[in-house]
Amino acid sequence: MIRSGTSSALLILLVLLAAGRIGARLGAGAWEILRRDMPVLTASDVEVAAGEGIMVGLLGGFRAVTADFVWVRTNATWEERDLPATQTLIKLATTVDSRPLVFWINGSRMIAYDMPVWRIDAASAAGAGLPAVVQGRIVAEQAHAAIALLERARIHHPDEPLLLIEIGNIRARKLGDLAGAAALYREAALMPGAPYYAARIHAEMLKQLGRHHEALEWLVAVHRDLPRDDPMAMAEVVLERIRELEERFEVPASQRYLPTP
Amino acid sequence: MSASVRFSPARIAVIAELTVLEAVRQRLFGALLVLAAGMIAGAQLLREFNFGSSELKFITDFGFGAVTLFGTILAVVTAAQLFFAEIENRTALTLLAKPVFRAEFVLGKFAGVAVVLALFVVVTTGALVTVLWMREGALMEVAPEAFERGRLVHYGSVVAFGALQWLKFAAIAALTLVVASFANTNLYSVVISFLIVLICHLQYLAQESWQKLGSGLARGAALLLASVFPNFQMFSVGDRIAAGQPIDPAVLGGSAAYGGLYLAVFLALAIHLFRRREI
Repeated sequence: MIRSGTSSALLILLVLLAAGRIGARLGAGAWEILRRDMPVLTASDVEVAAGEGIMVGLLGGFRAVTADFVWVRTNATWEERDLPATQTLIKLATTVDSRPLVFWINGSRMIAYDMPVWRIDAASAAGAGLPAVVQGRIVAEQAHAAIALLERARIHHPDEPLLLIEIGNIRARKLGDLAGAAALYREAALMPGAPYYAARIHAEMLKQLGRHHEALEWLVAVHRDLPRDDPMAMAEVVLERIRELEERFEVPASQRYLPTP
Repeated sequence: MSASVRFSPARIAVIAELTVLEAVRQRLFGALLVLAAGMIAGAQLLREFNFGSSELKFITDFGFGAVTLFGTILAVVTAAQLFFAEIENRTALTLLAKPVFRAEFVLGKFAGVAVVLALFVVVTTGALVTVLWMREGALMEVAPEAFERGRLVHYGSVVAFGALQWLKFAAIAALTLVVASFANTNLYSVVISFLIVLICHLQYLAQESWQKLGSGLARGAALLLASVFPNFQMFSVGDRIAAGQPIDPAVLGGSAAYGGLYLAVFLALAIHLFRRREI
C-alpha cells in the first residue's frame, strides 16, 4: 500500500516536472510579452501585500481597484504622518498599478517635501532643535528617495515629460542643483506633449545660473514655435522675457528678434 | 469491467449532463453568477473611486477582476462539491457498478463542470461587454473628439480574455479533481486546491528568484516550486486589454497551448488517482 502510494507520488511528480518543461517552452514567447505588462512584484512586495490583506484582490485581477484602495490608505497614513507606512504604501500602490501618474508624482512629493518636515519635527520634539547640517542631510536623503521613485516611474513611462519636470523640481528646490534641474527641464520641454511651462522654467534656470546668452537663444527658439492663439503657451510672456534679455545685452534694435505674427 | 465494454463518449455526455443539472440547481452557481454580473454592472458606481486610469479602463479592469475572482471560486468549489456529492451519497458506487469506466466518470464530471464554467464566463463576459459598450456609447456622445478613430475598447480582445479565463478555470477544476481523487473530504479538497491555485499564481516569483537565493535548500525549494507548479499568471492578459491595446495573437496562442497542456495533464492525473481509489 505504502509502496503503491510512493510510486504514485513519484509518477505524479515526474509528470508535473515533464509538463513544467514542456509548458515553459510552449508559453515562453507569451510569458515574455505578458511579464512586461505585469506589476513588477518581488517576494518582499508580496509580503507587504499579504500584510495589507490585498493579496486576494491582486491575484483576483482587481489591479486598478486594489491600487486605489492602497492609495486611499496611503493618504490616511500621510495625514497621520506615519512615515514608514506611507513609504511602504507608496511603493505598494506604484507596484500594484504602475499606470496612473498620480501615484508616482504625488508619492514623490510626499517623500521629498513632507517627510523631511516630519523627520525634523520628530527629532526636534525629542530634544533640542536639530543642527542645520543634520536637517540638510535629512532633506537630501528624502530628495534622493523621491528621485529614485520617479526614476522607477520613468521605466514604466519613458515618454512622460511630467516625470522629468518633477525630478527637476526636486533637484532645484531640495538639492539646490540648478544645473541638473535646467538640463531636465530642457529634456522635458523637447519631448512631445510637454507642457509649455517646461521651456519657460528652463530659461529661468539658465538665468539663475548666469547663462543669460543661452537663455536668450533658447527663448527665441521656443517663441518661434509657440502657437499665438493658445493662452497656455503664453507667447507674450516669452517675448517679454526675450526683450528683457535683449535690453540687458543692449542688442541694437535692428538685430533684435522679430517675431512672426 | 468486461473487456468487451468500450470507452464511450456517450456515457461521458450523460454524466456531464447530470453534473450540469446538479450544478445549476445548487445555490452557489446562481449566487456567484449574480454577484459577479452585479459587480460588473455596478462598476460604473465606483467611477469616483478611480484616481488614475480612464473610466473605460477602470471598468474593464474591474470587470476582469470580477470574472477572474468569482470564476476561480466557482471552479474549485463546484468541482469539489459535485465530485464529493457522488461519493458521499453513494451514487458513485451505483454508477460504477454499471458498465462505466472510472475514467468516464472523472471525464463526465469534468465536462459538466466545464460547461457550468462556460455558462459563467459567457454571462459575465457578456455583461462586461454590454456595460462597456453602453458606457462607451454615452461617452462618445459627450466627448466625440476623444473617439475620432472609433471605439477605444477592443471588444474582440475582451471576448478572447473570457475564452482564456474559461481555459484557466477548466484547468483549475481539473486540478481540484486531482486533489478530490485522493482526498477524503470536500473541505480538504477545497482548501488544498485554493492553496495550490495561490501557489500557481505566485509561481513566477519562484521561477525568477531561485537563482538569486543564497542557501542551497531555499534554492532547491524554489526550483522545485517553479518546476512542479504551473504558472497561472500566463492567463493574466487583462492588463494589456484594460490599457486599450488588443490582445497579442502570440500571447493568445501561447497561453491557450499552455492551458491546454495543463488541462490534459491534470485530467490524466485525476483519472490515474481515481482508478486507484477505494470507494
